[in-house]
Amino acid sequence: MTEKKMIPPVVHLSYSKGDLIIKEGDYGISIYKIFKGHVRIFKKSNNTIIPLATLVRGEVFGEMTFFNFLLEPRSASVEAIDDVELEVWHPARLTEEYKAMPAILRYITQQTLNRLLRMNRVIDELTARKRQSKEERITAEKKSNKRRYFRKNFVQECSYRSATHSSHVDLHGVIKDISPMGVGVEVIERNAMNFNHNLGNQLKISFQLPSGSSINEVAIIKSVKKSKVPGCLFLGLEFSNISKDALKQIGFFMMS
Amino acid sequence: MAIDSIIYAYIVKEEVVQPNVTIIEEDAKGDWVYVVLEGKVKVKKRTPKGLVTIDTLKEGAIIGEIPFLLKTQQLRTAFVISEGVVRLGILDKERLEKEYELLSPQLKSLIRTMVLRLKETTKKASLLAAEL
Repeated sequence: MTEKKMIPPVVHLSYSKGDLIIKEGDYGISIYKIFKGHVRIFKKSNNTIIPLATLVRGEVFGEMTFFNFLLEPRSASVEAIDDVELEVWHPARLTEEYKAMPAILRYITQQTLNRLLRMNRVIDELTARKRQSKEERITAEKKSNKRRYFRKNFVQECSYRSATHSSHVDLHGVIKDISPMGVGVEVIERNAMNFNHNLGNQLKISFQLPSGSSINEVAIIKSVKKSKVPGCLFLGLEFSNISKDALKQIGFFMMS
Repeated sequence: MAIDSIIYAYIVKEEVVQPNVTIIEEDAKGDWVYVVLEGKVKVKKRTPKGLVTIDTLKEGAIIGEIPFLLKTQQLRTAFVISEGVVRLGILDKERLEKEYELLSPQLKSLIRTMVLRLKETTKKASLLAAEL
């Protein structure tokens, strides 16, 4: 009987939705062909998931390690998107064939692999740069917002009423800070009008600036917090469609 | 990078290209496979923000291999433009094809998969580069 090299048989494996089939960084030698279902290939770079591809029936994965002669760990993770059935190829016979194939084809294939590895590194670097530039932009925006919407401390009585329900009775509060975007007002939580200080409610608010200019604007409740004063709330109000004149007067006051 | 003698055995014709000449045009039809014998070429991709350079290849680099390895009527996936004066070798496509066809379906499938992956990652990299 002739001695033959034992080549492991092709085996079939099943995975359920969400199962990790290959983990980036692990060592593995198998090559997989999809018989049923879909898989997602992705990389992780600084806790950011970079989706690389979605593969369907008939497509193959795990080929990078094979062409790398099993020297490198898995370059990406593979996850089952739904119920997946795979044919698993052991690389033994294919490695023999690869080594025996014409040298020029091996040369071309190795160049393709090197370019692919280089492109993967380029994607990693560009993703990191993109994230960094996004973070820098957000920080810059926050800084510019802080300057633009700097709130000035300002203690002044004000009156307000619902902007959406007819009422002839004004409620009273105390403005604590002001910006061109809105005011922070301390109000009594329970009031005779049973007016609810709910997020999104619109108010007509009236007050005077130290210059004597009257401000009468509609504002929306953007935040509601308990005030340090018992029985009181602190409302964050944002002007909606503030008039140019009011904006100018508040601007002058902010600069004074 | 020295040119492997194996490659010389497949060269059927040589061409000298002047600087800034488009050797391969993205989306154009064509299946010649070249090897850079002297000089450098830039690989560029079309993006919404114009052409983006994604790679620079030196002597010994094979170019135009993607449509050949995918074995379908594929269009060129990127521009290849000479950086300076470039000497190119055109490879014997028929001989390459005959040898490639002798490979097992599994090995061809693995090579095809890797080439497709290169095509996808190159596209992704060029779009990312254009965003920055």
